[in-house]
Amino acid sequence: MAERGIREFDAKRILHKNWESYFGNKLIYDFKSLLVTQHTNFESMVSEYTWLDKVPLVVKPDMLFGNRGKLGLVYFKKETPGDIFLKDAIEWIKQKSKQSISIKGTKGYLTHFLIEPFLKHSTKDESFVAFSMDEDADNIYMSAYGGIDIEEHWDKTTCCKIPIFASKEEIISIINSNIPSEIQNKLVYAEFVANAYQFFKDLHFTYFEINPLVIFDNRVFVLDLVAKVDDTAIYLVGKKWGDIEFTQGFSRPLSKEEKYIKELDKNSGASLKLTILNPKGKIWLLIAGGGASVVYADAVANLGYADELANYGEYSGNPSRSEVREYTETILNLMTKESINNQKKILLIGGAIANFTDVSKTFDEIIDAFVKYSEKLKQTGVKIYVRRGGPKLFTRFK
Amino acid sequence: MNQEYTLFDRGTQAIFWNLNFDAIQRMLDYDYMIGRNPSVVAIVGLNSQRNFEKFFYGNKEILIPIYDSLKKASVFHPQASVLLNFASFRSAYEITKEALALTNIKVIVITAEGVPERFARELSIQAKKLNKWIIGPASVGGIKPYAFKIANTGGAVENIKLAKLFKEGSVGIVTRSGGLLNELFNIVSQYADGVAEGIAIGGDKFPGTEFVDHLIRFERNPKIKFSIMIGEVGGKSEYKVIEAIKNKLITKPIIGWCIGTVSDYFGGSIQFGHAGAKADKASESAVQKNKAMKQAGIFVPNGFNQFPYLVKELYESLTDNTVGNSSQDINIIDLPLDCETLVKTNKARKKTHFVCTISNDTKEEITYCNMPITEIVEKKYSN
Repeated sequence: MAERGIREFDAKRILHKNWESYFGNKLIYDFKSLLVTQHTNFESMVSEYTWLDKVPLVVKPDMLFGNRGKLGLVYFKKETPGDIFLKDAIEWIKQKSKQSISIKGTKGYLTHFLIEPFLKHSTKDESFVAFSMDEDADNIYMSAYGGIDIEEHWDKTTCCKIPIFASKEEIISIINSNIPSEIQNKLVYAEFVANAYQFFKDLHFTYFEINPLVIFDNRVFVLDLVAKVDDTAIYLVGKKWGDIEFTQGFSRPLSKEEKYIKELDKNSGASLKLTILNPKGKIWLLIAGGGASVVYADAVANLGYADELANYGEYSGNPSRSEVREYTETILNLMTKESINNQKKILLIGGAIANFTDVSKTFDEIIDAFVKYSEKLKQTGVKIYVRRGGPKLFTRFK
Repeated sequence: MNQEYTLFDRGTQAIFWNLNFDAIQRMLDYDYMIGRNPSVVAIVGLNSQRNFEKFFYGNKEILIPIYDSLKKASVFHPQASVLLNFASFRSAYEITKEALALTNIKVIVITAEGVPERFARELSIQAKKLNKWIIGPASVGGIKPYAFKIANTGGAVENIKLAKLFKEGSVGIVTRSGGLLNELFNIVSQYADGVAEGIAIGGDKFPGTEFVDHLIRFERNPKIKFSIMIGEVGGKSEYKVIEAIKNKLITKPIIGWCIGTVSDYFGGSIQFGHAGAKADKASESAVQKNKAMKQAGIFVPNGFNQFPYLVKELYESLTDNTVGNSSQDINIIDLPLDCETLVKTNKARKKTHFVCTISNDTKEEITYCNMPITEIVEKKYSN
């Protein structure tokens, strides 16, 4: 993998954890966030998070999707802003996690919420800052018009490019000369942006957006934060990140099998991927290779059978015998689980011509898995097509 | 580096970072078969106990020196212009940086998957400043037939023979995926006169060199009549090629295809096997890219299966040759068979032996990881 969205809670936690090294103690960030799941025991939380039952609160889902304000999923008022207290928050979370909701066509349940103190402020206090990566430079976006209508005010956002080899002094001077004129406290804002950019860069974030950002004197309030990190950098900055939970975010719940393959993939030097598109589909894929697997899926869809495509997946990078075996068995198990109207199913075993994966080894395991599932495969009526190339291929096809 | 448009020739020498036996032996086998001198002249291995390692070159054994630093290897082998960086994702970045600073090294191939994006991007920009070439990260490499083969590119010897990768053809190929590169070698060997050069740029978000960089090189290479490019959903690489066509930097015909059209059927949200293969914007979808390529005058098939016919058609329209007539016999030196193969084909015999170090002999039959010894022998897991 590479770029991964992380929870707002994790992003804020990382910001707080590294605050002193990047922002010193002139600027203050009072990190008060609580991540709530079904298992949260509020009684014990109250003793640990002493502010929880004392101040007005804001609650929102923390599951890697945006536009929460517009979706009506930021709870900060019953009648007037700031009249939500712990009891109301718990009630709201309970109610919201019960009903399934649909976001951008994906149906699912809300499972993770963020509770924070409510900050009394007006819209004119809300500014905006974001950092992103382009292939030739980093981008810094700054605006005095933060908040949920940022896109309507996009013309008032300045964007500046930071060349990859820019020195600290150069970065500061680029930021200073691009600060929007409407920003209230330019000095503090500029200092915050410069330090936050350094933090973004050093900690291998690929995207970082605070909207709205509120700064009162030297106190920084990060009201909403969206962040993505490059997870390949975990070997470098994992310590600075602390314990991050890499999550799918809001999605349809992963099946047992998908979770299992994900776990295999995580613990392997090879690559193993599985997405179930339609468990009742007729056409199943068991394909090697990051490129070839896509070609097979394309071909099925191109021929007009996208609705029948049961899964996308691939295994590559010379996986071990047991990995191939587990992977194959997972797919065979899935496709023989149920038979729909006695319809025949098709399994495509394939791949391009491998460069270094020992094809004979992988086929050994696939064959073994077939032997184990032979009865079930016959029962379901599975037709199998095989196409593969690569080192030691012929030893196994003969 | 005789001409600016080619990265490799029959004299190209490489330093191999990491003692990767199989890949190095495959390169030397290829060298032997096309009758050139060994292409790997030095190995960098940090923890090696020895100062050299033995490899086959034909039926002779040769010694390749092992150094404990890249700098040393480069000083002792100043002619080596290629670094095959087979270091892990943890060290690939530092080693590439070191190589960029060495004047003799002009081309660096990075094979590691999982090099942080920020680092990959920095290397790419730095290399371009210095006028050097990076292939990768996460790339299997590439090949210039009858000249130089990078590591495992092309797969096993059988495949290299089948795909006629010994002979220089007139088609340039760029892909992201190594498997598909191989697939195209196969197609081009059957439906055209073979490959002039084939490069897999790797599946990362910020590859060291892009399609357009290589296609512009191919443009200047008089041997290349047309090119094939296979892209993936996500990123802007194909649009840069389109831009170059508009600016007349590329005028030779291209057959182009972007894989991942299936993603449109599923709301565009599938993350495919490669890190860069996910559309962030509508313009990055495979369907859109294919449309844009077609508009720019690139030959776009209706699907991958149409590739062979398109290749044949284009090849025949550009040359007077009909496919099949053009392939003169390739003069390759056969690789001596190793003992194992001879035994298998009944041409030699070998005494059996079984060396075992760890086993479980508490039961009637010895087991290895719960597998009985008879099964190990039956399944030929042993030699």
